[in-house]
Amino acid sequence: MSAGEGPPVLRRMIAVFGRLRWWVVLAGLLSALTLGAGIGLMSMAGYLISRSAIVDATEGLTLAIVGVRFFAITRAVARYLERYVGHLGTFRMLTRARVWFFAGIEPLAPAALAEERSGDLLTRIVDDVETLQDLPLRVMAPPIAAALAAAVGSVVLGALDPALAVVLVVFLLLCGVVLPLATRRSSTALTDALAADRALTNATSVEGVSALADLVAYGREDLFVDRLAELTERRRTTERRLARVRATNVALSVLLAGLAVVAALALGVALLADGRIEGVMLAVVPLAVIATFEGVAPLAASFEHVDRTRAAAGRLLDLVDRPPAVAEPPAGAELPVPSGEGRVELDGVRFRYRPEGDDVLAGATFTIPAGAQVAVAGPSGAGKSTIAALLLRFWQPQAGMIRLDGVDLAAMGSEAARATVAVVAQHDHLFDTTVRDNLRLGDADCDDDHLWSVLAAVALDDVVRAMPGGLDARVGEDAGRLSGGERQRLMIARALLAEAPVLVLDEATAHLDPATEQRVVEGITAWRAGRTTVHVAHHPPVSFSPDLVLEVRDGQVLERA
Amino acid sequence: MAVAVGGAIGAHTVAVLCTIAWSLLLAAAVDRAFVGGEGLGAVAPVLVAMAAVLVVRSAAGWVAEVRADHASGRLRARVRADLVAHLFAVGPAGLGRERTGEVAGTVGAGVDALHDHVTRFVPAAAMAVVAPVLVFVAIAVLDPWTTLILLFTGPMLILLLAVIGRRTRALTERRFDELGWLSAFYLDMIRGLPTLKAFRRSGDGADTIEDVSRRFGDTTMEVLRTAFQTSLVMEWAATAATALVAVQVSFRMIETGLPFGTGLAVLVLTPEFFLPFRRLALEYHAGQSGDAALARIAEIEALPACAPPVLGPVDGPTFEHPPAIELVGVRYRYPDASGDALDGLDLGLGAGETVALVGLSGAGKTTVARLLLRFVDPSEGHVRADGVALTDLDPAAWRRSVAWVPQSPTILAGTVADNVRLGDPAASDERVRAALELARATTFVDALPAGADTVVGERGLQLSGGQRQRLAIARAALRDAPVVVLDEPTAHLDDELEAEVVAAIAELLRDRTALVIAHRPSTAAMADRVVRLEAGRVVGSGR
Repeated sequence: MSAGEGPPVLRRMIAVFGRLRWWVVLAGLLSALTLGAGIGLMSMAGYLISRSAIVDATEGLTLAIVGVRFFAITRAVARYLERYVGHLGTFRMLTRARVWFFAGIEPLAPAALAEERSGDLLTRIVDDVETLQDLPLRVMAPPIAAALAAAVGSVVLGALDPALAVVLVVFLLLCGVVLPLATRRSSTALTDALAADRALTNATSVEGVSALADLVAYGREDLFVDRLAELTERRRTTERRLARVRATNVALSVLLAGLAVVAALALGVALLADGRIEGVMLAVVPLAVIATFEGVAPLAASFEHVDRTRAAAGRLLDLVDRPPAVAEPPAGAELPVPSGEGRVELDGVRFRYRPEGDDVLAGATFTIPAGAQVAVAGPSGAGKSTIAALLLRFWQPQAGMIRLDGVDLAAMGSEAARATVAVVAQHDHLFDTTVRDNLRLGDADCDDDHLWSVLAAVALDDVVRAMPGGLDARVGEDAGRLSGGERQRLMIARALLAEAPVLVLDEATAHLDPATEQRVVEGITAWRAGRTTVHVAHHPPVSFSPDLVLEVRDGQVLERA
Repeated sequence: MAVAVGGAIGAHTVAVLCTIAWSLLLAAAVDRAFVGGEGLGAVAPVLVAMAAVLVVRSAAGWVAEVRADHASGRLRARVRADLVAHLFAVGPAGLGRERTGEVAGTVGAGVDALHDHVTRFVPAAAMAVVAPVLVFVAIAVLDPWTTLILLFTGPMLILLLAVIGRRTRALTERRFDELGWLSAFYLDMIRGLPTLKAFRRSGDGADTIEDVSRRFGDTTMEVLRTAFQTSLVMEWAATAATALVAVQVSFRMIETGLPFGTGLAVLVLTPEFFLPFRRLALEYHAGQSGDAALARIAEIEALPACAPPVLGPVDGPTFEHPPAIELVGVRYRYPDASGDALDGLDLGLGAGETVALVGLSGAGKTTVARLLLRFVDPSEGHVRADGVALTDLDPAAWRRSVAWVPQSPTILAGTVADNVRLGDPAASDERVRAALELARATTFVDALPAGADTVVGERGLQLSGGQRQRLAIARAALRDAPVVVLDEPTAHLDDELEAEVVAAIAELLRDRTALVIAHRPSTAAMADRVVRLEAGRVVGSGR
């Protein structure tokens, strides 16, 4: 666990929940009330039948009978309230955790999360957030409840004789503290190894299923089958060991709880023989011990939840703790605002993605005049897309300066930069919602007429009209219900709606057939009406007639005639 | 599944029997000290016997856990292997692209969800039947009157659980669907975070998450309230029965002289009668997610097989020389589609000829490629190679005669050389090198940290689209097959690379029968003949 530095992971995680923590405390108290009522019920019942053995009328028993009934009802009601309060608190806390994490990684995306971009790693992050739901009810509340129940049990037995309470406390500590700690030591490494192998199984499955066509075509199905079999085999070794640890844990907690009863009973018999407790109280001793262990025995098994939530919280905190790749100007400062003409200047910009990597841009210098129609060409990997990412302030150059309308990009801050530049990038995301909601990301207050006109501009209006529900049609996960070309056009339409002074289209028409591409490019040009528009492509659209052609090559940007 | 965990259930049964014996011994010990007035020395043998029974009981608990885990391990290994074998039988055409994530999730996490189902839910469900019966019999032997209370509350409990349970079940299932939905929604938001940032809308994103998450919590609480009422009823029945047993036992001790030892034994045993029901309620979640996983597995296993699976090398006739291929009156419709993808297609590829397919997306180009790869077989009509219908050949043996360069080739986790060797696992380093040279890939491969031994793929170095494409061409070159199928091989390349790769492909296709799906003029230009498809038919052909 690399998040081991500083305050413990779980404490930091719990701190995120702020005052919502009291829900857990309340649930713990109610749980203790349930357990306490159980102790009361069994103690009273034991006393009642012991008393009945030595009296010959029911008169003196009324109090005990009422007590038994009272504890029975209390227990049932407390259990109901405990579950209700506990779950309500859990949902609130999970909501808080989701928002906290989203806000936490917002400044990091996409630069500091570059290696998390692959699907299954992000899925694991989301699973980690979901895992936090075990934190309140399976990690935080049980020790509170167990401690209080242990106190109640000790008081009941202590009232009979302090020595009985001592015996109880010794066994409670063995079962509730020593055993979980000892088990954790042997289990943590196994749990971590298993979690890693589970993740590997998932990743292998994703790889195998994605590569299904390649494997079948080349008759190498065995590659996937063997890799999974090997992984299964290795996991079995870990799982078997973990099962032994768990089994030993269960066996020992049963043994300790039972021995506590036997020991307390032996002591009770001895105390009775010495006349230090009453005979009618003897039955109370084992029954109270049994009821007390009801709350403590589960602690022995809770180590798995502790390990799992701690590991999940550790991974999330590791992410949130990363330094952002882009420094924002100090909050509260008066920031310069670009005029909105749409002039872009790069001046000696040097940039590399990683300190140990090669320069992607090595002193790039060029100017795009306001309102220019520009084509950016160059071989793949030359840094064309990097320029777009720099303009959005997703990254920042190591040297040189970028200016929008003469204002330093770093000084104006990300908000103003992104208000000035809109980008249609290759890895842009379409949300699993309606066509309308996806478009409105570009302009939240846009009416339907306007949406239809922008769809017409990108030659997508007929497609959307044919979809069930039109603008209300859902596009599916990753816009899976749209073809590659339709997806691209929807992204272009969304970016057009933003009406930014500068629009950069990065390979945005690559999947379109020539006829459609021509319509879309003409539509874009008409919509932009003379505002700065940049087409980045290794095959610039045929129908696009640029005022300026820039070529990116070997980290330099050259102006082509 | 109960059979698989039979060992565990047997061990649990031993544990229940131990609990009964232990309770009887406990009552006897208290009885002898309290009623009999015996001292510790006289009671000691009973206490020792209690400890001995405890040891057996905890050993039985140990065995139950280990056996259940063992059963789960075997079951999951088998289910996963069957599932993967079936996936290969279904093939890439039957699976559908958009379902990749879901299917992979079922193979990975889905099968793993069976673990808790097998190790927790199934034993708990079995013990909810076995344990109460055993405890009931013990109490019936001790004190038949008390069983009246159990007879009243037990079936009432089961009835209530069945009635409320059915309602809760439907609601809980919906909750699980929604939970999956919420998780997908959150993933969608996180994946879209850069896009939200670019449009300055990440604040709205956080608000939406809070709103959706809170609403989800509120509606789920409505559902859960019903579930909690079930547990309230169960808890109430268990405690009320215990209280009732205590009171009526004490009355009968006074009225009818019921022995104290018997009364105490009954009192200690009564909670054990209800305990298994509560355990089952606790494992309900494991049962639900296991059921959901089983349903998803069944769904995949219900997909029709498109081609039989091939595990390991297969012997069969291979084509030594480039065959002439003809498609005659081929009709094909995808299982869920409303129309035919191919509508009586006639197309011939001469021996050694390169034919380029052009046409709009949806015209049927990909389906033709799939037919040649036997990812699908025609619904009507024939595909023949040198007059032999492909459906008469073993798919694996036929595919050994075919090399394939897809539009988006998958790079497997492993070295560059491993990835090229997909074409021929036994190829020497020299042949791999020659294939990379043909694919014009040596320049970039040599620049990698460890050359052809550099690890690429998910956890290794990420390759660009053009680099992947050239590795796929190297794969095909190493395959050295008489038939080649290429799907827009230059889609990811810039002008300079395109010229190089077109030259590489021209070299690859020499003296082979080839089908090329072409979007770009340069790809179509290298063909001997260009065929235009429209709506699943050939509408034009020429040079």
